[in-house]
Amino acid sequence: MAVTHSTAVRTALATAVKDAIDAGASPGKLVFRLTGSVGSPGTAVATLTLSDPCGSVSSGVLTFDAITSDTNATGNASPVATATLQTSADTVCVHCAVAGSGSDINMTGGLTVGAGDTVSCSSLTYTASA
Amino acid sequence: MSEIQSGQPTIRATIEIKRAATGLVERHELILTPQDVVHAPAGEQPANAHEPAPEQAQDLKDN
Repeated sequence: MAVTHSTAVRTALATAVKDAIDAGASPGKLVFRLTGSVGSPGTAVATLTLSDPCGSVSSGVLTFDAITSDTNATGNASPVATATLQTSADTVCVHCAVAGSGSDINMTGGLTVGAGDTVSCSSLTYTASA
Repeated sequence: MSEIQSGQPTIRATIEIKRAATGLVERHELILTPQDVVHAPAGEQPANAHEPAPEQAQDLKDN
């Protein structure tokens, strides 16, 4: 039988993620990176600044408020491989793989961000596990 | 309290990349499942990452 979480627990989980991202003194970040891990994040390719607080939680879903674009991305010749949601002090709260189809994040139009590119995120939600 | 079917945490994002060289804008709508979710206070190095989640993401669309 599948394990399920109540909506109240899912809301608590999403709130914990929100509070972790907001724990720094300044707004948290969404960072696209080269290969890395949660304990050793890869080189940053583009850094987007979240609102502070980063968003609001309802029924287990964290909906992020406006995210500031990186209008002059660092870029890299290598493709983006990971992404992180982190505090302003760069403590990683969520770590995701980024790759072609079948991975955690799929960017089918191209995984390489060039130097000077503008990277924007117009919507972002985190839904706690059911 | 209502119950919802179990599963992995999911992040949905819409990303746009404006290419500096061409001015073209690529839009990507994404579904992603976090590999690691760490609940750590500010200033502390995360030490207890969860196990990697199964690869469950799928392509949506790419304009």
